[in-house]
Amino acid sequence: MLDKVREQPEAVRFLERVVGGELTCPLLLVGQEGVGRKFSVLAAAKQSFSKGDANSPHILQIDHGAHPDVTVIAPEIPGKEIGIKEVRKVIEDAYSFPSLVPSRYVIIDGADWLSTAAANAMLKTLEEPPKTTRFFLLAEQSSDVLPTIRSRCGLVRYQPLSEALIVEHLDQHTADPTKSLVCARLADGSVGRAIQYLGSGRLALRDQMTGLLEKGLGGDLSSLFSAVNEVSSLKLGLRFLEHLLRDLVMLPLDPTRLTNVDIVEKLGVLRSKIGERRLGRLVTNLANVKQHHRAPVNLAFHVKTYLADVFSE
Amino acid sequence: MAGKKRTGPFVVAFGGEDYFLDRAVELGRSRKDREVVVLDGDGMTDHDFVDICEMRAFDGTDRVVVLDNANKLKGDKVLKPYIEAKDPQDDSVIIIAVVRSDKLSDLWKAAAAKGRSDSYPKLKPWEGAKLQKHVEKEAERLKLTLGKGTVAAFTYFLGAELRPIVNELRKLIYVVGEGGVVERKHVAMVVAPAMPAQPWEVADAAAEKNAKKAMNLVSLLYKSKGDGVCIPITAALLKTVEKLIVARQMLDKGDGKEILAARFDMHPFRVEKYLIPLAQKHTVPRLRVQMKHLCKLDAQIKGPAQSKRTLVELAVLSIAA
Repeated sequence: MLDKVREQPEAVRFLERVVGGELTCPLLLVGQEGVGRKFSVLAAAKQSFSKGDANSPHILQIDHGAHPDVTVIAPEIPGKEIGIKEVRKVIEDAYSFPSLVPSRYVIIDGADWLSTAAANAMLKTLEEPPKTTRFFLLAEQSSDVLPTIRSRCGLVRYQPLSEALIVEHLDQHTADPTKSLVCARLADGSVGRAIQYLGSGRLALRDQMTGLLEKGLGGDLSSLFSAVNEVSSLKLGLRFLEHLLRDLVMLPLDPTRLTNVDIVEKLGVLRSKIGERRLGRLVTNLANVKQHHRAPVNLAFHVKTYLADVFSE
Repeated sequence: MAGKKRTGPFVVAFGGEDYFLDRAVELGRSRKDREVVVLDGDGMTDHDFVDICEMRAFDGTDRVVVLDNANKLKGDKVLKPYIEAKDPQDDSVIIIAVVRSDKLSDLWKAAAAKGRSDSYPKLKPWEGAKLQKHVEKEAERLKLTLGKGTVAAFTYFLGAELRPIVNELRKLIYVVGEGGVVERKHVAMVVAPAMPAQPWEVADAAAEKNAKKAMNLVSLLYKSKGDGVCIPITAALLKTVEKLIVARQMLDKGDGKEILAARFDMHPFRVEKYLIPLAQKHTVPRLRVQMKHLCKLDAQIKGPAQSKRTLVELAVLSIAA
């Protein structure tokens, strides 16, 4: 089962040791969303529970999220914290004896979204985990996890996936190779994110962000601010904007490395209108806005300030 | 009475006027013809809520499920298909959702489309006529008559919020007796002055370049509400500065009051009387700098910064200077 995990050799080595029973400490799996962190832990659980039997009922139960000895908790709504109630329930489960297999797998998908109280509640359990429970904490960045939790876990890093692998996945869902390539490059090495971009029409958001730059060029703050208010997800929009700006910088240097390969002509026109100096300021200002990405700031106001600073001179 | 006419399976009450929203909850709670379940959406998942909605009374009695704080319900994966599948003619279970927000989410909009929605927007201080009508209606319900200038006295002491006004009316029954006439002197006797300032007043005073008034208001707000008030003040400053920069740029372009009124969804008279004089006190480059400062402030006050009050006061002074 772990043989299905691709391009994550370090993680597979660690998980094989978990399956073999050599490693019992909690593991902190760090990597961006969609690179296969949860997939690889579930693969390890399947390998461990089925003992190589491809027809084992454990595999089917895990695939359907119905295995009694595999517990997964995640924020109920993306961007919300995992509360102490959920964690207490997990701790209670962790100390009960597994039902069907020798060891229970507990996956906390979003260790960086544990509330302070929830994280503190886990400390004792992570310090001395029950012998029959394996803990896997998933986080995008280790620095966002409470240091006291970090110090109690073995660190496993997940690498961004290669463009070729993501495109290979996306080609199963679309017949348009250009769209696959754009989604793969926008996803920054995350196959999960690439599939989301391809499937949910989120590329329209990229066009909205291009529209913002075009509106900015008009210098009319009223229409620019209204356009910012209409962006449905500014966080994701900023990610797309970052790629757009990177493309605008890269365009004369190396056009083969562009992300938005489907709108090269449009980018050329946009670049000539924006000019070198303003482009430089856009990149700097975007970095400033991104500093506060995770804080609960008024992101729309920050983006408006950032664009007004560049375009309303 | 709500029970007499057909409402469909959903009644969605929304807005910022807590008094009416509380009444919507009470109306649901007091239904005698149905089994009543009252729930609080704060901390509840949509899964649990749908579970409760789908239960049936042992004797087959129709039910009414009142969900207060419906905007705080977690998740929509189960509730969305439940709403979609609900037959608009089937009112064996009536769900009264009280959304304490001026905007309805798509989920509750879909529910309202299959039943009814009642909007109770928060009254603005300048909507005197509407407030007068509401207060008179409530006084009538309490069998009181209002004398001349009483509503103005209420708003002077309590602002434009209906709930505290109705609370004071209930006290006044003991002063003037049932069926009595409430005069201004009675109001002054009973009413305890409420919070004398609102965060938007600070932003307005700063925009007027009246530093003294703005600082006094900040001080009053801190006294009455403590450190937590720095977030609403900052939000008000953000909103005001954004409005000012757009208005000032439009004025520089030569746009008239009608165009500004359409842009800001305001009456042209208010634009002329209030917005244009304010915008003329500022310049676009200066406001751009203010926006940058406010971004920093926004991040600082929502983080672990110390001396948040000083940071807010500095921002207010910088706009008012």
